Amino acid sequence: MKLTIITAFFSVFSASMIIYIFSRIKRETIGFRSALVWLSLWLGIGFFSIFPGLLDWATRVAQMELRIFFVLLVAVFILFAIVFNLSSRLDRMQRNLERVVQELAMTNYRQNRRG
Amino acid sequence: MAVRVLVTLTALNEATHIASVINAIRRDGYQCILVDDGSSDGTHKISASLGAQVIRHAINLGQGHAVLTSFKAALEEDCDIIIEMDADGQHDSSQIPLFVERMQETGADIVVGSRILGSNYANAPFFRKTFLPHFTWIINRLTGYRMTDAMCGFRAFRKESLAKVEGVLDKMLEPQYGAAEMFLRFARAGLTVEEVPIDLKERASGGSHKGLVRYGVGVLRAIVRVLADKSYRHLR
Repeated sequence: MKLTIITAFFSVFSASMIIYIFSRIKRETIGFRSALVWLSLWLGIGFFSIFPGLLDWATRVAQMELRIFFVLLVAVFILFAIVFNLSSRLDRMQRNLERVVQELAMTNYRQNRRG
Repeated sequence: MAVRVLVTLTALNEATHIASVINAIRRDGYQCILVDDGSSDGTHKISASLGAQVIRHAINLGQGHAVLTSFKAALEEDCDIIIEMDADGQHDSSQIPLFVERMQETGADIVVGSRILGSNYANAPFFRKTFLPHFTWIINRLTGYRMTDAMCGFRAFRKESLAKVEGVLDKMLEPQYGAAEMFLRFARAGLTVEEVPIDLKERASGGSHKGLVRYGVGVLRAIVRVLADKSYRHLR
């Protein structure tokens, strides 16, 4: 393990993010699934920062020339997965909101008719 | 026994037209329910003061959702036929008897107004003339109906038929493009459709809230989603 400024920075930063996520779990301001996704992400980044040799190995396995290509590719995949997950959740929330608004309108209507 | 007709309107910021529309409906002797889809211009107050029963969406959900809410409310009312009309003054309530007569003559579950068969279709906008027949053709091919105008918002529903498919309305995936989805599901449920020619009045002011390209894409997306939907495939 060779410590450089960049690996030290990423290690400290990912450790801070992990602590921050745990504090949010404690305050119950983050859901279980979101916490799991972000913890995995920062643990992964922290792990590769401490053991950069693993990144070289993964780059070779993926048959890529430069580490940066591998990192970018993984980042793009992760971002796509997050965006897909968020858009599905938004769709679901929108449907729920539509139902709530319609139910509320009908409840008020029934009450007005009776009253 | 006289047929009891209930008119449902859906409106978004129609304060300038709504009084004349409701007055005409009331003058013709019909009950009226208005779904205010999150208007901010006092449409609901004007409507209530004129004797319409008003249902308010707290936020704007879109016309399709407002139509579904109006159906739910209408199904709780004492009536035989539910007429759906636009609140912008383009539909003429004096043509309602045509729908009722057609429904009684044919025994159809739904009677749809056809702008294409109407006498003033020659003056219709370019986009309507270009795309409406094609969308209608697609829906006819998928449903087996023989309509000339599947997208008209002036329609009559037999209450008992609508009640039979009430559960279907809750499963609608794209209420915003409801015309396409509704006919697909209603055809699957075995409801019959007839048409009457209608004449559209000129819109006094304002414009449609629907973008044409977005609406067209939305209708096609609705068709694809419904055909792929399990609740549609199992509907009988």
